[in-house]
Amino acid sequence: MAEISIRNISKRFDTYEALTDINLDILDQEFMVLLGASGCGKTTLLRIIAGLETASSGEVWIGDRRVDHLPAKDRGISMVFQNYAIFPHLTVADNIGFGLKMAKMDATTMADRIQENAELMHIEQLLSRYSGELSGGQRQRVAVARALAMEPDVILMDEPLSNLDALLRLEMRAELKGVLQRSNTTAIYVTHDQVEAMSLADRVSVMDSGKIVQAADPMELYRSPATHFVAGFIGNPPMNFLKAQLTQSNVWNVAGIEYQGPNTASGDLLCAIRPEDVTLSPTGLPAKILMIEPLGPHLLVTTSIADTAFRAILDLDSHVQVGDQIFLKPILERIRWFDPSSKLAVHA
Amino acid sequence: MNQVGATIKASRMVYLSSIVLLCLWILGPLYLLAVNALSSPETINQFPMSLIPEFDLESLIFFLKFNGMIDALINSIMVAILTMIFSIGLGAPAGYALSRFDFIGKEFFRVMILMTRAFPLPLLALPLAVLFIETGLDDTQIGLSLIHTTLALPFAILITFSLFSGIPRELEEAAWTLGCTRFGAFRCVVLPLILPGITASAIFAFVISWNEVFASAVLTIQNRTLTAFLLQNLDTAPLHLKFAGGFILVIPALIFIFAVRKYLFAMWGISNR
Repeated sequence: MAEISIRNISKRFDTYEALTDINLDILDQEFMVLLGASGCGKTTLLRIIAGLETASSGEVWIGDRRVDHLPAKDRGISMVFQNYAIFPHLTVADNIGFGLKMAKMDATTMADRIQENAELMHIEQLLSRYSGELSGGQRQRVAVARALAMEPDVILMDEPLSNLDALLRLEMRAELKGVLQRSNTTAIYVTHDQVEAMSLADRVSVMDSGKIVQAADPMELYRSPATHFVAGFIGNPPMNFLKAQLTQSNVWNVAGIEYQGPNTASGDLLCAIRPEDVTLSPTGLPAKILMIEPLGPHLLVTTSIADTAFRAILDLDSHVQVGDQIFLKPILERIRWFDPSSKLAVHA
Repeated sequence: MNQVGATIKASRMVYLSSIVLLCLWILGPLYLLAVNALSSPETINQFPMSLIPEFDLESLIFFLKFNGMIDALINSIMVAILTMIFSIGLGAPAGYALSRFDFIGKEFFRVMILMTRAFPLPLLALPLAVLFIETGLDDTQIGLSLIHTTLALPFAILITFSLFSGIPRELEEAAWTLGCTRFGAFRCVVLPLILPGITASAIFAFVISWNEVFASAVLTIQNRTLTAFLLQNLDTAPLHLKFAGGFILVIPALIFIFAVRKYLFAMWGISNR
């Protein structure tokens, strides 16, 4: 049983505030991904949970123990590092067994545990090798096996796939997900790759300049971004934003077309539409095509709607050309609204 | 095509001749020293000199029997070993601290380490001698090795600093998360990785001490080290004894460096594992 509770964690480096009052609760056996651009504080937060960094203030609880004053070794965690951190002077077997040896486990149990985890990660034929003789993907497997062999309450992963090439990353991603689902371990996974985050996570915490902006399951994150930042960060390409003016109670004018929207006092909102949530229809928003990129399954069309760039994903057989005037009709229930000053979502 | 071939051939010639020249530069004097040390006194004073050693051990044996010579040799070795222990014992922790911790004045400290070498030893000799006599450290192996440590320490710190910096911090952090204390991680992960480098840096300290002559000559009287002993006695000695003395001075350092040459060049991941 290891739920994690992060309470009011802040971290300052000299004058720079890396983390500001972070609060996050992670359920037992949950797969939580911390997602954000580089420098947003996600790795710092992970290192604070691991005990490799001390918070300036706040508390970290794992299970029912407060751990922020404990050294890393007493927290019941194990960690997978971005550069794998395989000990170069030890064989793969000794690497996997390193933590068990530190825990003074007896030799037969240890050998079993090493074998079992090596098989789990499909590296049982590499046990006598050194890290210098392994490929990046194999090192990654050793690092994961080493972390799992500890049978930790919590496994922490710091961009574990970012040093692998694209194809291997896909393969390892699926494998990691399977292995961790079976292991009954709570996992915290740091990445800047939103596809990785969405595909792995039970829940994603999007971070931006030292704060958690939204923690939600991947579908909700995608459908209902809580802030303008999340809407502009998640999705490839991300959401389009168009200016909207209030015409009458909960009716908004977007580029000359009127849509039902939230009922607020302020006169301006941003209307957010996902590129794939539009269809060609004469009743849609008037758009002028600036650029067409065929992506294989569909066309990515960059248009201009009321002098604002708007990207739309259209069917491959749409028969459109650069310079064409087209009309894009959004799926009404998927339109989201944001307050341009507070940057927060406004619900209809 | 031919021209390219010729260019390659020429550059290869330059490469080879540079190597030969470098080897001659190092080996030539050593060879001449060995030839002369291994020749009888008569042969040395002959002209022209023979370049083939005749393996006459007369002058070497005479030299080894020379009164106080063995004592001086033992003194030299003892002082060098003490210097080695002191400079690694003090230098390695300092190097670790420099590479792993941030503290106020770190950059200044790094500059100051080298600045200690800017003080000419002769300038310090008199006050040091007085201080040593007052504290009873004069004419002792410990006392002299302390001086040699101050000479070797800056290098020991800087070498170990770069050794520790070459070991990714994540390796240590991984060890911490796998149940090691800070010291445990150092012992199980860092130490095995830097041992070759530490050995090299220890040898370096040994050689610095072995070769040092000024402090040895000033600070010891009865317990002279080999260098000081030779400086004192060979000045007026005949030529063949000078060669024998030089030979005996060079050989231990050569053997020592030859024995650990692997560690001098071997760094993890490059040439040995």
